[in-house]
Amino acid sequence: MKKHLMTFAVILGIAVAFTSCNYNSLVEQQENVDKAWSEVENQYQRRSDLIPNLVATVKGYAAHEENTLTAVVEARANASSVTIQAEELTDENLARFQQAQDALSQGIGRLMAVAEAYPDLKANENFQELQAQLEGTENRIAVARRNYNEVAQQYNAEIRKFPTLIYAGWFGFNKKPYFQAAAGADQAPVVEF
Amino acid sequence: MSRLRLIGLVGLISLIGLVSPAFAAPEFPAATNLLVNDFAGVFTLSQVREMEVRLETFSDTTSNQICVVTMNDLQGYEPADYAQRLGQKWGVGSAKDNGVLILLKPRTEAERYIDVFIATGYGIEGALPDALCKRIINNYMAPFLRQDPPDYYGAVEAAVSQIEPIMLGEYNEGADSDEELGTAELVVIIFIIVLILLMFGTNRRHRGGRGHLFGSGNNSDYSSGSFGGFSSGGSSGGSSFGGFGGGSFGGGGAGGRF
Repeated sequence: MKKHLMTFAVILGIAVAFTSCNYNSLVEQQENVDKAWSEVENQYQRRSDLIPNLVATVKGYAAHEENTLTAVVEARANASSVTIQAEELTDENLARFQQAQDALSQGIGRLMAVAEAYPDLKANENFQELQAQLEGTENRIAVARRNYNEVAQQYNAEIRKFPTLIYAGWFGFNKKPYFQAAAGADQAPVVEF
Repeated sequence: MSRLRLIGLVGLISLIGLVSPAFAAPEFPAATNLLVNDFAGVFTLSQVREMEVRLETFSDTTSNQICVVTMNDLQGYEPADYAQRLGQKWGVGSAKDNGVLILLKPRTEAERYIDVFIATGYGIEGALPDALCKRIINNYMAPFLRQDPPDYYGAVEAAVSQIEPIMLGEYNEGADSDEELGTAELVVIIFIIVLILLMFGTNRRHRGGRGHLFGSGNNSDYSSGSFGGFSSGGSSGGSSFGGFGGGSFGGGGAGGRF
């Protein structure tokens, strides 16, 4: 009887040691996912911050493109209202986030297409700078999203490994969602000269 | 004698067979430990050498790294995407992420346009914002690229001349941030460049002489070009460049198509 108890204690001890060691690594990986997520949000925020200036500049040259301008402003407001805390990252939440941001991407795309018809606007230095910043931001968003997907994938693979998968859920290590490549949404705009 | 030669030849062929998978164009080439990587072959040898010395000196004295890459095929990637991934993979720049990668896709048979992208490392995004990169491309590189035929080297040199002083203002590990030291350092840089150029000059003469000696030997099969190619590509004349420092890229920079 005593021998059985000893064996049990040893096994429990090993399990705890193994688990705690693994637990720390899980915490670390979750931290990485959170960091990558905040970078994604930063870059989307950066894009959002450029829009008032962009809209104002375009308005100066193409005031009667009211519909396009309003659409962008509305899409921005809508996208800004959808924020997700890192611990609330679920498939539904991320899909909602992505939908709102993609709508804004399309709005910006249309606005830039409209701008093509106004040579004065295209020649405006302020507009050119904004265009470069916007392109750079789109690139940064693409990089941030890719990084996020990579670390999320590592983390997801880790929590599904045995024996981690048994207790990962107890400690709140849940699967993180991925960004889905929407048609053309993750493509940075190409500018031709 | 001929049998020995045969064995040697077979050995050489099998060696090439072993090595060749490494040369099968991967999506992103492995870092070469050089700052000028003319994969597309649009620069002359002396241009490559001149730019390499210039950029290595810049890297050694200021810790800022500018890496030039020419590539005929971007494997279907957007130039921005390709430049960012390559810069990240190679780790251009130091731990301060103060690296810049200038990617140039020359006009090819398949794609009749030139793509340029200046990718900035995280740490240099502040000093070299996207709009400034774009201005450098449009104002300084474009005139060279619009020529017929395009002057690729001129364009890259113009960009480097613009970027160097900007980066120098951001990170300068070589000296204090004292203004006067800046000029003193420039003099030192120029002095070093001249010194290295002189060294290269004598080096080349040496090499030429040796090649001649080998060529006159009876074993001309073995002194074929492939080995010369290795040594010139690999070492670039025994430079002091310590390699890339693990800088990372977050997608900053700007590009243009001509």
